[in-house]
Amino acid sequence: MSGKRKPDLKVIIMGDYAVGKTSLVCRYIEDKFIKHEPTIGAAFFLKQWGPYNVAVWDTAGDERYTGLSHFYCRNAGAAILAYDMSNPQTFESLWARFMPLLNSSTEKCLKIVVGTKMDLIPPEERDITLEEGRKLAHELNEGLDISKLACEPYFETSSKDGSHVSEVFECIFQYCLPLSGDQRSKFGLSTSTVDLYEKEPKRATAKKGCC
Amino acid sequence: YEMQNKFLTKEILELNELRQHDVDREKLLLMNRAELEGDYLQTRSKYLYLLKKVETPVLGGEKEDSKRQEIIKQLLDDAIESEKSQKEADRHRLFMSSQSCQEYDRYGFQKLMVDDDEDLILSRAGQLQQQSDILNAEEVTSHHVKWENFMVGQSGKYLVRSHELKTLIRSGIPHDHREKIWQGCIHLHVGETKHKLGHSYYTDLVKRAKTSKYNPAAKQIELDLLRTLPTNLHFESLDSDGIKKLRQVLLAYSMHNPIIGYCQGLNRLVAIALLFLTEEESFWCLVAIVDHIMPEDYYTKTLAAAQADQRVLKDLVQEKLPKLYNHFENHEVDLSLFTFTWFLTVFVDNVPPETFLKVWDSFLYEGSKVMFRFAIAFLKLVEDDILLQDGALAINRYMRVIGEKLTNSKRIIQIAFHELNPFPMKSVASRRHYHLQQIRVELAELDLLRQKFSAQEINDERRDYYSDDDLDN
Repeated sequence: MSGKRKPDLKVIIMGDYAVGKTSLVCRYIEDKFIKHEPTIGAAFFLKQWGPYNVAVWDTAGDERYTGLSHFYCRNAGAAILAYDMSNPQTFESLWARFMPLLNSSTEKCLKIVVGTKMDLIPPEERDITLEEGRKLAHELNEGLDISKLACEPYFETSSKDGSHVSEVFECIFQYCLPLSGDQRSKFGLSTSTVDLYEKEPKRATAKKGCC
Repeated sequence: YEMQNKFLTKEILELNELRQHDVDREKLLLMNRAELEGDYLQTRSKYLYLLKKVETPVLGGEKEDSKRQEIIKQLLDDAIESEKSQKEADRHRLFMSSQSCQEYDRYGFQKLMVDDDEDLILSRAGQLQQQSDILNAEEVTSHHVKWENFMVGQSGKYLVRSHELKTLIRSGIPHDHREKIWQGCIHLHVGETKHKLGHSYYTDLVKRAKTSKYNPAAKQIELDLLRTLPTNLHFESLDSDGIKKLRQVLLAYSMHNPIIGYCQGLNRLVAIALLFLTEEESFWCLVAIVDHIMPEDYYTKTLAAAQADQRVLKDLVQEKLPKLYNHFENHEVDLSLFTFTWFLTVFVDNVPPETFLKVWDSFLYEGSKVMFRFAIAFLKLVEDDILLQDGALAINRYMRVIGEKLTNSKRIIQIAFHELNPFPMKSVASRRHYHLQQIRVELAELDLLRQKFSAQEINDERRDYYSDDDLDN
């Protein structure tokens, strides 16, 4: 079998139902924001990253289908754990449902926590703070050397307006399949990966003040 | 006598009215015909003109050539123009009646529009060709006649299973009779249950669903309403006519069968039923599918029977399409990634409406085993294409859009019910049983693992920071 035709990296996306997993992938791959039918089982997307092929697996959110997800996790190089920023329960689900799945199947898998639907929630009304998000993201990656990661393993995105969506994927790709600056410009990719949150550290910390 | 007289007079008046109606219709049709004939002749003359121009030998060299191209361009522009005005007219008709128009098909699904003008002409030409094939084919006519005869004989009676009816349904139910025949099929499955539960069962469920405070399914149902058939006219927005019915049927079902409650996929089944049936009939259709037609445990928490079916399918692919099976195996592509959703939504997901409705026809009459026939027929139809895909990535990419290729429902039916034979149902049943047992064992093992893990998790400090939240409140 020709090794070349297998994807060089497999990324899976998990999270509760209707948090916007499919929307996130579609915004990145097709740069579109449209209504999606609920995903049943899983769906497959392909992305070219420089000379590499990346397969992105979009999984179903319905609890019934997570039983099948351990199959999709096999050989995943990275996992995106998505939660809906306007619904704190979906954050808790990352612990309760998806952690066990990942722990058992993929030790070396990079985990990125992604908040979705940022456009729906004003900063002062959010339940999960930036710190909480980052904390979870770091804990999920215990035992993995993420010092080479160009950014925090935590993102807050909006697939509706496109904020920070491509950053999520490019951060993962750059970590798993590093491209040199030359390669990046050759394939028409931006040459820097700026962590956007470092530039606006104030926006998410409002609530934390009372603790 | 007076009564009789009155009755006959009335009859005469009615007949007269009918006759008048027919005369009007005939006039209208004649006019339409004349118009169409005019269009046709015009098109033909343009075509002949074009042919002649293309045929004339090039004498004047480049000059002549550019002139010809100009003419061709002119004709193409004409064609595009008339296509556009046709679309306008069709759109206009949409406001008069919601039936058949350019942008939505007769089921209310949005048609895929091609942006490019040139492509538009080509795809339109293809469509017209197909339509005229359908209109002309003798077998289609005879198929319709058979159905008409059957419907006349049926008039008002309950459906009775027969070999003749099975064959007829396998060839597809004509649009006009689908409602009646689906009703009949549903009755075959749930007639007795319905009788037992009483005629107000559905309305009671709806009432109960409205007053019940705690229904874990309700939230998820609400989230899925607009994600059910987002491209269908009847389910487009929260005010669309289908959405309210969809919500009520799903809520009622979650009350009716609390073990299942709601499972993603059920929403599509109901939506398709609602395209042809009333709200209450659609509820019974869902009951028929989930409680009767599908094996037990198809939509329950573990989806055990649905998982088993994927293994059965794999066995059958190995048997019926060994080359394809090896191709998937060699490239480590898991077929169930693409077929699982077919089975759970009875092919509504990722398959064109004209095709999945044919599956539904025999599915509702014969039962869940026809899903294997169709799944394998789909794969066989595009087998050569899949075999051409070299590498796991290419196969995956192809399989993701396989639905677009599944438009030739006539051919699919031919494969499903003839070329795949023999297709003994006994062996399907025994395979189902075997794999279900296997899966139950595996699930039990997995459960044990999970229990161990969560016991470990509770002792872990990692959950501590949630107490921060508690302090906040």
